[in-house]
Amino acid sequence: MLVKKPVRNKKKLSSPAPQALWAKMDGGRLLTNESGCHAWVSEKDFARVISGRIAEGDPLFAELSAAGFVRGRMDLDGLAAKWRTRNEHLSYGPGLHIMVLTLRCNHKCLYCQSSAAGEGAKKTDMSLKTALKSVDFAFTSPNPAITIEFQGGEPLLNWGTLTAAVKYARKKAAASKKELKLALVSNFTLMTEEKARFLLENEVSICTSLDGPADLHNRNRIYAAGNSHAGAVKWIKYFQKKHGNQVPEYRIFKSSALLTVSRYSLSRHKEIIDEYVALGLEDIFIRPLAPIGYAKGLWEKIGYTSQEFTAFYGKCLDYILELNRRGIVIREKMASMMLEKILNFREPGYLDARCPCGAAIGQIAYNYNGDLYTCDEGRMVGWEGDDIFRIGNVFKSTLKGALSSPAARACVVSSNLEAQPDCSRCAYKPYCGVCPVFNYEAQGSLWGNMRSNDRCRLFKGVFGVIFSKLRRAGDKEIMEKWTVKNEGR
Amino acid sequence: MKDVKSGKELIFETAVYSKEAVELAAYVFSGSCGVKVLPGKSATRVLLDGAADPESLAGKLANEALNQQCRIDLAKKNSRIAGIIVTKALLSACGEKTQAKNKGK
Amino acid sequence: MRNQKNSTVSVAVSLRDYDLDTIRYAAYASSGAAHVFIRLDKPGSVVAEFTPAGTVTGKAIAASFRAELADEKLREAVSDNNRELREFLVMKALTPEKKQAASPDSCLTAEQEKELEDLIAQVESEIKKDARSGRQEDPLGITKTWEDKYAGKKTRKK
Repeated sequence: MLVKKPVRNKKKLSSPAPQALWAKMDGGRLLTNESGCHAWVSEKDFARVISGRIAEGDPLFAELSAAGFVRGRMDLDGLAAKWRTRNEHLSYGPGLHIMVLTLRCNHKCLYCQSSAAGEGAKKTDMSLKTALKSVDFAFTSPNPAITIEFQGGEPLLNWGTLTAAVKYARKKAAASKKELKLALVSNFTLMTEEKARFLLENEVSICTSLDGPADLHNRNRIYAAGNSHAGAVKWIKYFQKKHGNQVPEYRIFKSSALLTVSRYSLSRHKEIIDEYVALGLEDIFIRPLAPIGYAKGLWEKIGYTSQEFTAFYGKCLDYILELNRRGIVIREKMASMMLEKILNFREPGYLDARCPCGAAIGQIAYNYNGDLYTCDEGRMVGWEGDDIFRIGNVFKSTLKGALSSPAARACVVSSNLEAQPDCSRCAYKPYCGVCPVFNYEAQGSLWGNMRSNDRCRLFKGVFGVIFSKLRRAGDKEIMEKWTVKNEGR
Repeated sequence: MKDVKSGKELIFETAVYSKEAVELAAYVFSGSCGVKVLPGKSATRVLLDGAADPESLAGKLANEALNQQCRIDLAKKNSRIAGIIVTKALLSACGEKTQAKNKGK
Repeated sequence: MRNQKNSTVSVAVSLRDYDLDTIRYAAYASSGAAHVFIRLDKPGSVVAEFTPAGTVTGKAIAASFRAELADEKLREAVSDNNRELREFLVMKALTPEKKQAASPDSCLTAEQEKELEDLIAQVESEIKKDARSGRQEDPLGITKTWEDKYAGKKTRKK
């Protein structure tokens, strides 16, 4: 394919305005462009930039031309390379394969989006045959690296199938030369030494939920048979210790924890972060709640507005930065992922915030019965009786067939920011993404309406916080170290 | 907007809102109440019936029609770049090797 | 600007000043705070009607709409001006990179590139020689990979 020489705009222009998106911020303007570069300018300078009046010798010239905001001085190779690395997901097939081993769960979390069933509902266990077929299906992805993540309900309730799937997947990986990562998301209350040993020996990375100190965690995550927080903490400590004592036979990955923010969390940011720090967890992912699954029905009780979440997020980030200044290692995961895009022009694998979103093309959810969905949230909508996000079945579909399904294609098209009226004009477009499942659940269509979309407001709020922190040299220096390039892992 | 017996009527002038935009908006709200779309030469009429708060629903439907119209407006300008991204994403996900074809301009 | 009924505010916009796409988007931009409806007015003009749906007043919404009209007009011009450039950049980004002997950005001649490669090869060979003779630069093994440290000691179960 011939690459055309730089295109000369044939239109007669009164001024060579650079390609830019902008947002008013802190009395000036944040500029961004297609490649993901950004710059801050005053209102006065904005007028000069946008009318192409930044010439060599101007104090802003060096910074703005390096970032592609001076039209006559663009490094097209460099800018294209940045676009490429930030959008490398466009070149790969589904990398994340979520296997829902069972819908049974021994918890009744208030915000449960997996629409878990009671422990007795064994008919919602994934059979061995379905699990192995799902692994086969995952390996048909053209992505050279895949992650199989075992979820539920509580996946430890279907232990036999889990162990078989792990062993089978490892065998397939060895034969296929694909890079395989295995992950488990569990509440840990059913963990035993024997199970832990199996998981460690088979290099399964472990993740649990930790919503903060005991009373808060247990209020969100109801466990009738005991203390959910105690169970989570016990095994976090166990796996942390194991990680600290590596063995030659296999790699032990750091265990991680996920925070889900409910209304009860909003006034307790310091306690939540302190809980993570006390357990030696170096990452905290401040995840907002979405009105999907059980959470939708209880939204009045446990939900909040985007403004409330943004305020909470701002306080969390302030406190985390303060801890960093004291020498404590703690990173905010959402910020880390966004910074990967903003500072390093790289795709961090955050399927919720990319264009198009990860639905089907980045991830596939395998329900207990072998039904395939665009994502786990899409599967939850299916459980509520609406199969709009179903893309096939492991026994009846091929990968190509699943990705060609109306649901898959509709999600890709509707999450393309270039086709969204608001997103295509937004300064945060290079770093953001929309969720067709959220749009459908909250607004009745896959496209949604961003002007009244709470998820959009929430992301704008988070970006606003992150970018305003980046304006402060001290905070920027700390946050730069959170990105993959600078992690000493 | 007009009040009609037990509902509301909205009249979207075709010069401002395309029929397509109005139909898409009507579809989005078809689960919330009775919605009837009556295309005409210079305007598309929408009849809403059975809504708990017809005034509010009519306002939301009008907003949705504008949302859909803005999307249609954008597609006229951005369809090439939007199409490149979607095509690349879907083909790569299926394992097809893609080569961007730059049609000469 | 006119107040109708109780709180609906109307703003007339001339199509000589702004095209319809611009007016539609600017009106849409206010739809988070109001119910918006656009209708034809006298020839060459449309009216945007805003009925507040939250706490923001009609007056504030109308002001915001006017500001958005100007911003959107500028944004449209910038976007129009750069459409081909953006498409070019995206196409270029999606085109597989051709591997070249000399990087166009290296500012080195082919001869200089060759000299650099020879130098790198020489240094690498010296490092390997040092390692074989036991003169290690890395007594604590910091630069060893996990595989170097542990592979071969016991078989890893997979």
